[in-house]
Amino acid sequence: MKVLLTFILLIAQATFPQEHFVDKGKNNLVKFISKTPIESFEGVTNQIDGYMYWEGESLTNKSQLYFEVNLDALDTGIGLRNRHMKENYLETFRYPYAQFNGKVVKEDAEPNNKSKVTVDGEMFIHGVAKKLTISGTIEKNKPSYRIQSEFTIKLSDYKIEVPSLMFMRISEEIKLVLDFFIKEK
Amino acid sequence: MKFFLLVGLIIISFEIFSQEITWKRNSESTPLTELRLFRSTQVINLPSAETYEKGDFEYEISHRFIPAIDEKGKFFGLDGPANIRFSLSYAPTDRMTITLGRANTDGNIDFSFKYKTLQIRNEMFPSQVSIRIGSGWSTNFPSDDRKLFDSKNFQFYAQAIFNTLYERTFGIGLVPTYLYNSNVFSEKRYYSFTFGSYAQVFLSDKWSVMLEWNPTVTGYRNKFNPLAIGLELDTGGGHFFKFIFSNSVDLNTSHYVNGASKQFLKSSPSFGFNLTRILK
Repeated sequence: MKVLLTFILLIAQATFPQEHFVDKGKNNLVKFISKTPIESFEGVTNQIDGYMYWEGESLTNKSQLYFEVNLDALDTGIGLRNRHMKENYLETFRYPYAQFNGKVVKEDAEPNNKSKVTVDGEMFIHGVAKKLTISGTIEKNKPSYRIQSEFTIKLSDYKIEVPSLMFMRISEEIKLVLDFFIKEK
Repeated sequence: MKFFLLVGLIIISFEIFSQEITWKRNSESTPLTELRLFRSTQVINLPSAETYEKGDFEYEISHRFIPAIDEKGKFFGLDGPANIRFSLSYAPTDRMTITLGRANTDGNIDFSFKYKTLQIRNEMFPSQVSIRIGSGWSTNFPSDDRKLFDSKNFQFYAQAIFNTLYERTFGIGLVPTYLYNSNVFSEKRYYSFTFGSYAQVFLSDKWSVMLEWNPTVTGYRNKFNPLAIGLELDTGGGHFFKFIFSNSVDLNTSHYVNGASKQFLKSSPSFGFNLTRILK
């Protein structure tokens, strides 16, 4: 009976559901980069939150993930540029978060506890939802996981008008860089 | 019996370990950002309740052309002469701005301190209140009897600034002001209490129109209450161009608050502009 009980517990452990929250104690980074021939600038924040869920060892098993970034916390280094960007273009008083809801659809193991993953989901920015496939890496150092990804979005996909007047030069294509940590809840 | 026990254990095990998503947004961990209603820290001559963001430096240069816009041979007043003021502001925190300025009228050096005290996050009428205190020091006093540091050369003022914004489009401000030593030319110490108000309509993300009025309620006043209309171009990044028509040609608060020397329509207004830029 004891053997049987141990066996049951082992099976249950093997399919142990794992919900991981963003580890806010780490140096999380969300960065956007705008490059034009006239002016390039970056905006950064550490205000990312959300969860990642899977069962068992494979990240794709019953995968769910949701991450959001507080756009009000973006800092470009110039206060009034921040304000202008948030009020006139991102309209953060209406849409304070950039949100991504999806799942891990592919995981390829790599050396040094790393996995290359592909995520399918929906990005929600400025009141517009758009399907998106993103690649990234997850470094597994249990109980902590480091997630890194770089991808590009088009502002027009999210109905964000590209300002072009005088001092405000923003690229139509914005590169997003994510580097953050999750840990078991 | 053992079979039922086994099934029961399996079910209980999976029930224990299976779960639904429990993550919830922790709004406490996401600090509320500063409320922003007006785009600029100043409307025409009166301040808005806005402050800069921490670490910002801002440079301002403003002109008020003394001839009226219809004065002959003065090219709409642009030939001058003109009152000129330039200033530098710094924000030690998101809610605090300090400013040092200098105007060519009486060699006036002004210093002010503004602090945002209250933010009301009402959905229809988000509002905020700031206080501003400041002083003006007239350093080019024409009288030989006056020494540079004579106390009569100093003016002091305090302002409460209430702002609200309806539908992100229609901004209203009330600015009651107390000014001590309103007339630096006089040997007597006057005071003025004015109740300034303004409205700003944001027509687009760049353009807005402004109306500003600063009537004296009690105390000393020059001949007329200052009235101004203006057009604001917000080019982003903290750069504002303001084109102004007013019966007042004063720039620093301690001079502006004590009234204007001509009427707005009967004498024709003068043209002026404010330019601001963030230094980063």
